[in-house]
Amino acid sequence: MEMTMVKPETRVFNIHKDYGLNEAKKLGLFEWRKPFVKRYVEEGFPRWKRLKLSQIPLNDLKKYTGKYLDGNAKILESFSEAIQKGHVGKFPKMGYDGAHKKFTLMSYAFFNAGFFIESSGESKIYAHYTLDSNPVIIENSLVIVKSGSELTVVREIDGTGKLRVSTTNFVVEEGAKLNFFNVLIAPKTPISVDSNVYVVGNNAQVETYDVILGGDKTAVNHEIRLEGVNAKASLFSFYFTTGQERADLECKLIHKAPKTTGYLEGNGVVKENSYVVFRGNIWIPSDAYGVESREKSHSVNLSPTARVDAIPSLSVRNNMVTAEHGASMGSLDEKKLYYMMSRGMDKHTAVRLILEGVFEPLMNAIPMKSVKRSVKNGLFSRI
Amino acid sequence: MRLLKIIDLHARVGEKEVIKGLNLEIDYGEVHAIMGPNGAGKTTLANLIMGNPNYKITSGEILFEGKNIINLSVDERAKLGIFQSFQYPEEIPGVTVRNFLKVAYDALHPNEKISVFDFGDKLLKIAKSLKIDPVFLDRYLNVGFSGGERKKLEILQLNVLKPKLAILDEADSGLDIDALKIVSKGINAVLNENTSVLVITHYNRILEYVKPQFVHVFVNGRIVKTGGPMIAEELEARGYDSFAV
Amino acid sequence: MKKDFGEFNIITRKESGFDRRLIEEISFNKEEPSWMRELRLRSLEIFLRKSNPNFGVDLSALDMDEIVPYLKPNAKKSASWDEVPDEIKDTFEKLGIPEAERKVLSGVGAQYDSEVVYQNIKSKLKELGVIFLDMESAVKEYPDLVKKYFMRLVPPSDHKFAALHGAVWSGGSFVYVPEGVEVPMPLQAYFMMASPGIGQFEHTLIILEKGAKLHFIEGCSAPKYSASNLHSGMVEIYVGEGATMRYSTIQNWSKNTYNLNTKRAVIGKDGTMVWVSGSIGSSKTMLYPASILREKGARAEHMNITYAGKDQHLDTGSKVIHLAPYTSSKVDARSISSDGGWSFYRGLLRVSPEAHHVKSTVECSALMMDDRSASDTLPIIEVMNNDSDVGHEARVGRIREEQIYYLMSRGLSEDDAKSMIVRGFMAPIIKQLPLEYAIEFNKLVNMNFKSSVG
Repeated sequence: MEMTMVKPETRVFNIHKDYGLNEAKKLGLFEWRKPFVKRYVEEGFPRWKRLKLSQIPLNDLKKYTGKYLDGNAKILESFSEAIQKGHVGKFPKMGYDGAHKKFTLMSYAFFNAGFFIESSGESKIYAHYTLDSNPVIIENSLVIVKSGSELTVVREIDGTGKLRVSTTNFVVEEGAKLNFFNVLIAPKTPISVDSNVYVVGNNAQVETYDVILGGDKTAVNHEIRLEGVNAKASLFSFYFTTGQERADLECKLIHKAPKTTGYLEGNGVVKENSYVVFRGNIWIPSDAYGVESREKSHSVNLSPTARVDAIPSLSVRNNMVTAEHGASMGSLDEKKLYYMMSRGMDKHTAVRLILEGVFEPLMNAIPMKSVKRSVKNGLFSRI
Repeated sequence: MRLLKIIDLHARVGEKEVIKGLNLEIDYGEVHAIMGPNGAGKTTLANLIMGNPNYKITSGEILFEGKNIINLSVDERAKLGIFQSFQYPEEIPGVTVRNFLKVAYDALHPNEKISVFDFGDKLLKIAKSLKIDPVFLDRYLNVGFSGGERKKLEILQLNVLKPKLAILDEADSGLDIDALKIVSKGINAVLNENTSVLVITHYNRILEYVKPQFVHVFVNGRIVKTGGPMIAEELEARGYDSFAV
Repeated sequence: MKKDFGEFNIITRKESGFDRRLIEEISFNKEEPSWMRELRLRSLEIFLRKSNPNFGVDLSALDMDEIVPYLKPNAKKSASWDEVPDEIKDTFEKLGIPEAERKVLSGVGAQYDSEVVYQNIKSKLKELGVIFLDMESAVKEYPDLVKKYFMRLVPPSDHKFAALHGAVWSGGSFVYVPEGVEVPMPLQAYFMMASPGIGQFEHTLIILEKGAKLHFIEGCSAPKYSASNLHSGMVEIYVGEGATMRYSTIQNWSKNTYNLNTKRAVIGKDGTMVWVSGSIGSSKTMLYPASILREKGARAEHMNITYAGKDQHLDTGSKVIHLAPYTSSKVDARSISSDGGWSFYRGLLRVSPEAHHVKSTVECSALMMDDRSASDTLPIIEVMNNDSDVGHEARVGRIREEQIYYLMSRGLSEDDAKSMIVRGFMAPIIKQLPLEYAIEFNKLVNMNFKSSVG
């Protein structure tokens, strides 16, 4: 007997001057955008309670100015170029809604930035966006990691802008490996929505590091679909919020194929009046036997008025699996502080060291010095 | 009629053939030791006699008291009087040692219908004679047990369930001298003219306490030599390679 | 004749009979004071207005019209013994339930003669100053006390089924334990099965004054059958300063039922609340015992065991709300799903900003017996301050072959081995139940495995 259940529906709201056909025309490649625009105007914006989202000020949209792509790959070009050259056909087929379909459709309909990467052998790409000169960035990106190749993508967004919406589709083919660093250091940017979907094939691997350091209201969504046998994925989410910032981080591991392995880890710090909710979902359907999936999250709360919520969920339909999750939150470990201070450190230094320790695994993993520096500075300014 | 007779046994684990024509005879009231290098398949043999479904017999017979048992399930073989002691026995949370043993005892003696109290007394007596702390009896089966505690529990089971053939798999790994003595005492306590013990081991330390009449050298899936206790000393001196065929 | 999901909300059709007149009839028949009648009518209004919960089990097949007849005061509430499903009769047989009890449990026949047992403890309770009587009588005999507390913890506006309950509640127990009194024996709900119809809308209200202590047991593991398939009961518990309350339930409603209960306790300074629940029956259950830790030092412990078998969707969990500092909570929720059953753990753990130095741990373990069954865990953890220590862990697993092999090597059959492992899994919680319940619960599980082991 197929059993159904009831799930809460997100309420939506509409805004007065939403983007539409005119904006799409101004951006060019209208034929490609048109079907998405049509679907976009039919949707409303989500009234997200946890992010307290009730309005979206939309500003003038223009093409992204400045170079933001660097690196080597079989094909590396902007998304617009990819469409013009016919590298991107009918797209997307993934049926992915991201953080919310309104924003995903916005990316497909109104993108003014974005990249198309096709890798072979070993490739490294650095995408660096800055909101200072481009206050509205709507990104649409597609990445294909060809069979047997290894691709490292470092995406960094910094500066202060008005809106950043991004949707990225990753296809990781058989035996390929993807290392993805998604670094958002954009304090005071009112709204940032970052959606990423990964389709992982047989024996392929994905390792993602997601870093949030700033943004008034930030929603991040990573959906990893392990579709091939023996596919593996690890996602490490790091965050440090302060002031009035609010972030909603959602990571989903969908084990479509048997013998797949997944690991989700969330680590972060909240301070002052900020708020973070970390949602980790693990979904194991009935034909996915031999799956191993784990989730862990720990947060450190530095202020009495800051808040962290965790919603780790497990949905399992096959019993030949290992599935676990754990979530914990607390303040700084008093014992650790005491120990450090008894060795002569003052409290401030001790606190700093402990917090740095939280981000140590991230710092070790980042492959680019400049990005490491930006993250370090971002952290220090918050500690 | 022998207690156990294994005739030209071939078996595989997955795709690999691990037992390649093994012959073995164990009579009532005898102590046998099978010694061999690690990874040779000694544990496989124990599992095959007990009936572990993960091991596939491709040809040959295992006769227990004259009856071929290769098609019997694990519990059916246990009821016939076969006992396998494990190197790493399973943890069963929430089930006390006491409760577990009562259930197992009842399964083996369905007509006896011993009461919980009488069984409790019996259990306590055996535990004491083996120098096992009675507090042990109310802990959950193997949960959080040290290596030595697990071995003691296996020995306790052996003495409560009194099988006809006890297969002790590497009973002396991970034990200190005191625990080794307790384990050996426990094994010797069950030995009688109707019970036999098959000790599977890599080292001959335990054989100083449990004296075998027969020692078999097991190399490459077969028994390559059978002899008296002297074999054990020979192995100690020359190593297994000297026996390789 | 299935009703449309939407129509469920609009029961104003005359034929259905679910209206003011019915409620007034119910109230009149019970000879209730006007304030209670008002409460019922207000609840009815809310019920008709509100929509179904937007989460949980699928209620679209629940037909209110079928229930109405059972609400009418003089309607035939009892089924005849012939109507009782064989499966239920078999279970009675296997559990060794006495003849008389069988009839009561299946809604056949009128009063159960628990009078004898009840009389014995009645005098003892009187000595202690403890009030224990059926809820309906309590409304009449202790109006001030009841009025102060009845549906204050769970008001009719709380959710749709709270409103339904408010409108049609019937039967249940009222317990009042005065200051410093420790009730020496557990009190059982089934002493109060005065009205036939197995109490599908029972209301239990328990008040513990300062330093009081009570263990209350609800339900029984024997299956309860009733032709009416909706159970919307409610339990409200007030734990006073330094008082200790223990509420044990075993629920084994027959497989045709919807079990939508609300259980809530509010705990005062240094008070302790312990919920022990075993759910094995019903087709669909939504049950989230809630503890509100209102004052400093309050403590709550939740222990749940849920067994979801064929065609069952059990959505259970716990709600713990920390409103004051130095409060602590512990949740141990275990579930087993087998044979296509679906067990869903839904939890809420909230630490409010003023609840400093809270310690809380939640552990959920799910055992899936096969690959047709389903297990979900959805905990929501909200921590609104920075000096609390909160941890949550969950794991989903199966019985491993190695465990079965080990037990079989000791002579247990495969079914017996599985049964033993499952009982071991549940043991820490079953241990908390009164002995007869523990034994019966284990028997029920054994029956699911056709095991003969006790």
